[in-house]
Amino acid sequence: MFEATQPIPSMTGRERVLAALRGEPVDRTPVCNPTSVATVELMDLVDAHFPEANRDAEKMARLAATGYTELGFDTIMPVFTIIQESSPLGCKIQWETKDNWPTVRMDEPIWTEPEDIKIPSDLLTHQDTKCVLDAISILKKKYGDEVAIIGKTMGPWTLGYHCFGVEPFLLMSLDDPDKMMVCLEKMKEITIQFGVAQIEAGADALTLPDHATGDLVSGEYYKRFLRDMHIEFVDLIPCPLILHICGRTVDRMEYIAQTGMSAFHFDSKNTPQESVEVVKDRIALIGNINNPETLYSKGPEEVREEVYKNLESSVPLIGPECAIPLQTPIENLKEIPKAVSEWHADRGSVV
Amino acid sequence: MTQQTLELGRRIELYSRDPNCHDISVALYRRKVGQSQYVLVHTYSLVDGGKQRVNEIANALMTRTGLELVNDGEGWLRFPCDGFHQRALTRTFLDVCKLVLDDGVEAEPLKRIDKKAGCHLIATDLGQGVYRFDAEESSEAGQKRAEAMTRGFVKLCEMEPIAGHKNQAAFSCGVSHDNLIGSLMFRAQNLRAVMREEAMNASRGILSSPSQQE
Repeated sequence: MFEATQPIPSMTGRERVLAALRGEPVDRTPVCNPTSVATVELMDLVDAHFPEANRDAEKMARLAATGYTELGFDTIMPVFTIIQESSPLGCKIQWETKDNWPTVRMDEPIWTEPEDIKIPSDLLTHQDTKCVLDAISILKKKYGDEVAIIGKTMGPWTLGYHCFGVEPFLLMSLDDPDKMMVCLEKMKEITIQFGVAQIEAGADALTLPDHATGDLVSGEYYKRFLRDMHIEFVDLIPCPLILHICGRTVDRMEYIAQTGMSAFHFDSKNTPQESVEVVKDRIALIGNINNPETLYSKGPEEVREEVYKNLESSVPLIGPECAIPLQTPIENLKEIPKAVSEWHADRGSVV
Repeated sequence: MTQQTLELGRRIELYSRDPNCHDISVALYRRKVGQSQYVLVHTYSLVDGGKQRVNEIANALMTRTGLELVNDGEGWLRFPCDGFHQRALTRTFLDVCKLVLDDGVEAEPLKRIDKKAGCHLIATDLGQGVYRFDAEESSEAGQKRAEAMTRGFVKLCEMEPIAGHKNQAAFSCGVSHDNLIGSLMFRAQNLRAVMREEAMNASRGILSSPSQQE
């Protein structure tokens, strides 16, 4: 991270986020949500509810914008769910109701062999991907000068869970690693196509979730199957990339830091201090505010404590650790930017 | 930029999807004013009928809990005892939200049939916030059920057990709350169902990691 020697002129949210993603000085630490901050109350406020807000671009944009207009974040991220590209691929989607997440029926896989992997011709024109592209265009037009618009394209490992099923996909990595690599190579094209299309639609940065999570695979697995592919993404998807992996990931942060991605969206199962110590200034860290215990169940005081803990550990972008629970209280979310601003005001500091 | 969300204090309960009114979310907010705790029923929905539904829920909540209106013109409510019985209040709020409220509600009696006891269970206000729970008919099963109901109230209403009296419990504020007791008798009879529902609600709307998804 740069140490600013001169006061930094006031920045827009967009400038602040993009500077932090480049590792450059900022006027204050940006508040960033690489994943959803939609809640049922915000859905009511702007009359854009789940599941429709995941399939209708106007509603998707309206709901996403509340992250900035109501909560005061420096980013807007409209891709709330994990289903957007898996739907056109042919996965069965459980759409659920307003107060629950649409999800992929991973217990009904659509592929078993590499030859099954087909990228449909309507990948980018299907309702569920086009909705994202159109929503990004709307948001770019309306808020593009003020905040960073963040898109999301799922990595091949996550797509593997969706299309092959979690267990069969993981077993393949043990039984036939070569076959697994072929599958990942074929699926990575989906990640690239959807990612590039979002950049063309106006996304400033992309979240790239690739759930090689601590509870499912080891750090060595990450290195073996994914690190080089993630390095490739940096060249092939021309915008700042934010890798997202849930869970305890300290054992693979060294490899993640080698990818050249701009940022790693990390889980509260990793302490800010230990994470910063591993990645140093090779990749920016984002996130870490605990969802189920803090943002969902506790109050603003506890949220503030976590924000401060991250700031004091020099985490360069602050935000929730993952998509927040849909029932999260609004006052807890508003506390994040408030706490960041007050922390800086108390210290008269720039970073 | 003008925010539309309000500074309402701390949200203490949420009914995330009200099937009786266009699936709107309805929340209960709490704020401290001086030594008092005020609560407000609120929705951010602007849908037709939404405000009316909120008023109906607030009115029903007053009837079922004994909350009274604070004269601020904004709909804030408080307990007359000036104490705050959050667990009992939020449980009653969730129960009220499930009801069709076109015709309002009435306070529940301090008497309720109990199948396992084979008779009614009765709550008696002994004054200073103390309640005794008895079976209408004297039997071992009746006595056990009355004691179980007492334990249910200790948890649901955060009441204090009375030493030496397995069928008595007291509100810490030292004031009677007949409306709360009447409303929650059926819940105190079956605390496990309450816990199950709470656990189910707590996990709803949380995005699971791939290893946790079904």
